[in-house]
Amino acid sequence: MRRVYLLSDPDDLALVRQTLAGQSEAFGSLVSRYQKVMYTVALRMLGNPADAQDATQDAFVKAYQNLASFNSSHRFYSWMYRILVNECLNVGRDRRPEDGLDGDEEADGTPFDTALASERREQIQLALLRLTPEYRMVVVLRHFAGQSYGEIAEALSIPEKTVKSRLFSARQRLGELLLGWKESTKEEDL
Amino acid sequence: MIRPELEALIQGALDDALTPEEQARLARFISESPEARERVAQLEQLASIIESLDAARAPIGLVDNVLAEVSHRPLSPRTWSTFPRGVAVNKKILFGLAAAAAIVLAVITYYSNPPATVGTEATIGAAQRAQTPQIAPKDVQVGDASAQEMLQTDTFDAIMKDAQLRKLLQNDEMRKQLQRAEFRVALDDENIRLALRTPNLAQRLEDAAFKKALSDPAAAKKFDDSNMRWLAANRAMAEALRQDQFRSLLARDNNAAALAGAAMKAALHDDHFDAALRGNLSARLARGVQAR
Repeated sequence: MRRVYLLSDPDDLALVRQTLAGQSEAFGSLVSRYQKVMYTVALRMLGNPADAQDATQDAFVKAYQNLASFNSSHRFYSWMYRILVNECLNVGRDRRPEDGLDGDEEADGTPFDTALASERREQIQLALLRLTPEYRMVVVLRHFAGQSYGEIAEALSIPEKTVKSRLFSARQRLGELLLGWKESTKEEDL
Repeated sequence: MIRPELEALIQGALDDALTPEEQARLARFISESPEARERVAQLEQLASIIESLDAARAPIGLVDNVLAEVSHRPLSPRTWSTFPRGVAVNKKILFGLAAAAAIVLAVITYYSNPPATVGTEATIGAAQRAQTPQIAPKDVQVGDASAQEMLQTDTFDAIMKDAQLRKLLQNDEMRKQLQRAEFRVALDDENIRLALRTPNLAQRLEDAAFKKALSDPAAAKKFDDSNMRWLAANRAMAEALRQDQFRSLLARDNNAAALAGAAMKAALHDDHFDAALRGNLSARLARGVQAR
């Protein structure tokens, strides 16, 4: 599972302290460190590069403005995810999933390969967008940010048990949509 | 239909969340059940498909845009609330709890720190005279504004959801004990906070043998050459030894015995404890000893 984005807490905390001490370039380092994973999470949540960029940028600006209230006993990236989640939910409320899908990935191979890959990615992204935001966010944080159950629970302020339950149900639904799994008899609104 | 227990194990394995015992149980299920093997393959295929949507490239200029945006915005106190909705609490109690919440993490720190042995005061006192205290008792006073801010923190949120902790914090004696400067001083140490997040470390610090080793003179008998040799070769210990206060602590027989004990040896295997040791854990311990 992906854990490549996450660096050590002490580094983050040092940068937070430097920012609070007036060194804004330290905040630039934090943005630089987390921009890729934050943008990826926003893109998978919203399915639209323009919205994802807005949500990511707004989340970082809000984080800066509220940095004084960051509780250093928590992980910086969990706090950032929480802010980003709220931004994505705000953007998502104003849009329908079909309003625009991403076309932001790098592509290799022939034009035919590229077209096939692009179509496949679109199908996966559409399947994600068919989940409700609560279920989608758990899948996105797990599969695209490599967060553990505990970290997701912290970021979303929900119990770990709920994280697991949502993740399992969301995977079942994605399996039905993408791989034709037999539909679950359990009725859930996801 | 696959059994819920098995499904949870398979999904847990996919998420790297199984204990060794659970992994063994799953391995047994997989070896015995074709259905389990099929489900594992299904979920692995799904994860692979989901993750084929690779990480996106961050938009060009995002860092500059953010910095331009924040350049004319001040850093401000928190403006949103995480206070749980629908919880009706008397305002007086609420503010009392908020004040207690400001120091609740420190309790964990205080009681997790290894107890110092009797008789170290003079040594530590001498070392302490050359230092200026970082935080004075007056610094831990929690005024109305602090209480207001605490109401909006995750810590307070957690307290509100934990009946046992709420009860504990309403105990007068407990609150009196909490309002001591050493708690906050200890909390100021980032390495100690990190160390405390490690369940293994907390478990080790709670270990009766560990506590005994740190406080019981009889533990000196456990002092053995092999442990001392091992400690001498430990990088974290070598670095800690460069600190005056750590040397002062070590100069006392009981502490030396404790440090040579098996529990300390085990604790040194913990990355966060190692970090704490290389940081100023010894200074924090020394201050705690002096205060007591």
